[in-house]
Amino acid sequence: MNKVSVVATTLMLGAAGIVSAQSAPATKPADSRIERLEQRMNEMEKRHEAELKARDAEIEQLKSQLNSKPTVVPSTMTPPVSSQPAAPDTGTADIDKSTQDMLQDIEKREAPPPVVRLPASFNPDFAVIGDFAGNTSDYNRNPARNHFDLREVELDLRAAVDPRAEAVVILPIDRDVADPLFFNPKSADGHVDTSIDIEEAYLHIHDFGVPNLTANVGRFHLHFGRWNLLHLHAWPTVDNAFTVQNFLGPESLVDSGVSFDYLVPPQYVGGEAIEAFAEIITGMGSSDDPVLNNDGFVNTPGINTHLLWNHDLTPNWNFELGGSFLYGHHNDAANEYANLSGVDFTLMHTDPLGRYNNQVFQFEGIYGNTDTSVHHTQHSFGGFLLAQQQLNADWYAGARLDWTKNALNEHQEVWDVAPYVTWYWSEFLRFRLEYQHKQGHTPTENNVWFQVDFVFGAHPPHPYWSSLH
Amino acid sequence: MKTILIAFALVLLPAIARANLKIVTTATDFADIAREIGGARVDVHSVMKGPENIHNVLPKPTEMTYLNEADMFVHSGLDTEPWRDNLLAGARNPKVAANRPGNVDMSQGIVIKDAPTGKIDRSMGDVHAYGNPHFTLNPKIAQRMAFTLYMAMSKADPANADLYKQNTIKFVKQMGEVAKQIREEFKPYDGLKVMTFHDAWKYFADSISLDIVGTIEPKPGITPSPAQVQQEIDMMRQQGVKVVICETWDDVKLAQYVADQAGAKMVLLPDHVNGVEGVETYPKLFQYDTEKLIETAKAAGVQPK
Repeated sequence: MNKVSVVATTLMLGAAGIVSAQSAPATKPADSRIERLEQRMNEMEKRHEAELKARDAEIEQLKSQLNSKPTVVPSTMTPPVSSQPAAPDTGTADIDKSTQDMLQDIEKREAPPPVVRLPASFNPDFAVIGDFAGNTSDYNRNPARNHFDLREVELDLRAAVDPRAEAVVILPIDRDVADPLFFNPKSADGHVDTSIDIEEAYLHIHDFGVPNLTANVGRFHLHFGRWNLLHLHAWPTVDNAFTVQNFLGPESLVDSGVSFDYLVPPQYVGGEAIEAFAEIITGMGSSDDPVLNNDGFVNTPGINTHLLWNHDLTPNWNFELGGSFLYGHHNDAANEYANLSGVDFTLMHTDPLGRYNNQVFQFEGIYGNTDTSVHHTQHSFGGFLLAQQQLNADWYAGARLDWTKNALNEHQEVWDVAPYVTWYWSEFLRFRLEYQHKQGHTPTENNVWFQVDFVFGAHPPHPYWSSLH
Repeated sequence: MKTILIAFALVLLPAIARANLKIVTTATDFADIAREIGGARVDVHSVMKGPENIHNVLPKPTEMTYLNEADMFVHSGLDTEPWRDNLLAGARNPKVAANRPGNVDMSQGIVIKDAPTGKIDRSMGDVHAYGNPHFTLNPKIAQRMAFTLYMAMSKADPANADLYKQNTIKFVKQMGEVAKQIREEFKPYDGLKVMTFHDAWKYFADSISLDIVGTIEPKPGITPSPAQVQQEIDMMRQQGVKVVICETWDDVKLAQYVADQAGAKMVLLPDHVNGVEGVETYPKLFQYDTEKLIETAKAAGVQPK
């Protein structure tokens, strides 16, 4: 009976479909439509037959289960009542069953299997990054040479705080011996300075209604060039590039303020990746920084801007060109200005076979006008080149070449050449060996550096070029 | 009036012509499914190109521009692509942000193997928190993924939903045929013992009868020590393993060494669409891998049943 009614319904629907199909503007021959409808009807009929068969089988199975059911079902065969979904109220049978189950459980003294409940977690992503470095040197008057220590343990916490914003807090615990780029033995004390710092703590607002615009508010690495964005453990070499040390700071230039980041809509620039940053900062920098080394006294904010263009030359060759400009005050003096201009260039080749024959070439240059007094401005510049070859999945080799004038004394210069090899045991454990020959208006040094970095916890990937692993 | 209407139509024409769904995928496999379902109605861009390790893809800033303009972002949903979040953040496209309809998780409805329970840490290697993420290597799973993508595409572009449905049905049937074909072809070698470099072939071993006895990596993503390599060679000899599978992006020399020492043959197999030349589509990926495995088994002297 059911079958007949379904077939009839199907036919009616089919007929209606034919009528409506005929009344619609024809785009295909009517024959093919009728064929499709027939095919559909046949499919529906078959499906319904299968459903009926399955239902009949299920009824038979339930009947046989009912006949063979013992008068008392051991309660351990059924899950605890509380764990079952609420059934519609069909009388009192369920209450009687629940009472019986409980009485049986009491009688047997047998607890139902424990239910594992996974709580929703509001914990942030948390990572710990350790950096151990040491060196041996032919120059022993510098307390930072022939010395090894845990340079830094970095605590990295990040979490969403709102559907439109996330927070990032990075707290390094450092153990430093001062290691100035232009070393003067008379001022060296060898004191190990242990400190905890707020390297970065900012709110990243990724959706405030303006398409393609995001903002960071808080304390952050300034978008000046490429290396200044990197944390110590992400440098491709053991020590920081000389030009960055000289103009921006021993590790990086960090300040508080607001940073806007705008991706120019690709449709307006021929599909190119062009990104612009504008940052309004306190201009304090820090006492360790050579150029922006103000304290809370600084009376006008600083401004930093960065523009980058990233382009695929071929599917496997990519380059990036960036320009930066920073304006601020030097040395707490309202009349001493510091202007830094930077250019950076990164060329990257990735293995078309998907293996590890990858290369990175990078140049970064900085030109600075820094007032060292009301009447004296230092016009200094410097730059570095980095070339890195990935050898296989785990090994990298590269070299860095630095040359820079002293940002605060244009008559002094320093240079070095630093080849290195890096060995990744995994993404979370890395060893590095680096030779460095350093020379200039500073004692000549031949250093061999050794570095171990480890990460545990949830650590986000580094920028695309800093590691090709 | 007529002139105004024509002008209006001319203004609207480019907008209509631009109406194609823009889809960015992490993997080439998802891209192939999207093309099969969408045909000429979709513009598809895959961040991964094919031969590389999906875990270590380098999403350059130029990829952000594709995702910035995309209607859909299709990904594994697991931690297969650790680089995915950076790319998504850089693209700043709310349409494809997490939990939005344009953000398509292809692992929906798929039973993930080896999902860890309890505490995990890096002593387990580069272990994946959600389980083995290489689920794309199975034609039956490809059918399920096609359904997931069809649902998302038809929601994003209801005007073409019928076309997507028809194409999805076609693709699902095609993958069904492929699944049958490779299983039939491989039957003489059912139960073939293999050593794989990375733990990427467990789902493939469900589609043809492979017995994966171990991996050259002692733990996911960890390069073996010489002692571990020797242990693996000894184990292969003891168990009579005659075939070593190396993914396109893994250490071919080491895989070849292991195979040579164990008296086996090494075969380089793509684990994604476009992994090697000639494997431009999903069906071709499974056909290629199956044929190469049979060839290698023959060359290694494995007797067909």
